[in-house]
Amino acid sequence: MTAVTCELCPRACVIPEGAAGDCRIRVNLGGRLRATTYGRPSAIHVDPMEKKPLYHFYPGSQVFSIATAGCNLHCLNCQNWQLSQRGGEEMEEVYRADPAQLVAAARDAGCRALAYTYSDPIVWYEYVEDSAALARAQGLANVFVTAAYINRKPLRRLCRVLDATNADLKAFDDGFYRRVNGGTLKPVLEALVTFREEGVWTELTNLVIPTLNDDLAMIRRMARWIVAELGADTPLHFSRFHPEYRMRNLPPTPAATLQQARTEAQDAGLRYVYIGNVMGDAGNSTYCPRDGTLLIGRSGFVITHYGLTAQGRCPTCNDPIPGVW
Amino acid sequence: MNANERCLSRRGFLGLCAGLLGLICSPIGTPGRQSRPADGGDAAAPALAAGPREQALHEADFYRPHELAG
Repeated sequence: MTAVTCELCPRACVIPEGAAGDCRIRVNLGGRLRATTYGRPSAIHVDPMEKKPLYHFYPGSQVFSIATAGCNLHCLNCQNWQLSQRGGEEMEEVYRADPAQLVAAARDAGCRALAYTYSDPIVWYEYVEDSAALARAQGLANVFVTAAYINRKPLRRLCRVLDATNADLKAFDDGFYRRVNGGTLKPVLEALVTFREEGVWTELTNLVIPTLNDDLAMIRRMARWIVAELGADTPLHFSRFHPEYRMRNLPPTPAATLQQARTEAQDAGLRYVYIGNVMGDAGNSTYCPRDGTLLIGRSGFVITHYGLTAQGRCPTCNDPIPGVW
Repeated sequence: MNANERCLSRRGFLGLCAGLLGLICSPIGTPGRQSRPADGGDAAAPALAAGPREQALHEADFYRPHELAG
């Protein structure tokens, strides 16, 4: 029987007959690779766009968020491990929705966009691509929430139907990716550049884990790379770690660490740097980088103040604020 | 207080309180980057039917036959 080599992500799994790739859901049946969770969402929820998190993309809107089982990374701290570290047949709950049904449900729910999220939608490639194309044709946007561990060729093709992404940049250290996530850094950086080249609105998330990736010098290098390769207007979200899955021995990230990280990133030239999961922090809100005017006030996922003009400009200095408004 | 801050009227303040109360009371779980998907209820579930867990057989993209060495 013929083994196959999967070329979707850098793992390049060689999959014998009857076996699955590392992601658990791409299976070799008779020498043909099958996407075994196509049309089988395991999680569905209507979320605020801010939860993705996307702060510069249709703020205040609702997004129809779905996920499959499986993932091509194995992060020790995964907070969705019950979904990501399982195959489709292990899930307690599975829905049935072809792309047309999925898009219809999103429209019926009054959502502005679909988000492919929670685990990693990379492994759900075919379903995401088909659904996103249909969603776009019917006026819905497509959001891809991912760790970006994907080869460039499939990513370029997928970008044709994507409007926005929140992508993880988990650390600016290949050793961290290998030890904590089971991946490598270089393909992630290439993927982020690809998103930019293909015109997909990109916001980044860095989950700060005490003692593992909270080194301020590394954060500074990361921020400088983002400025150089993606642009100073790329929003960066520092997120707070909470003990989870196989990383319950570390404490939650102190708020002061997140604030220091934010300062480092701003000093490196990034104009929109946010702090997640720290209620009431100034890092929740968007300010004009020129004159400091409060543009969008937030408390958690709730918008408390919206001051952009209809053209997406600062109401005080009239500078354009990057985003999709 | 400038004009931007004044836009939080009494009605807006009550709305904010309601929103924050909803946020505090809603079971969003651990507020990570992507909170657990089912936290807070599943508003969309009625529109999509539950299905059996057997595998789909959709042809995947981006693969090739593996050529053995030797």
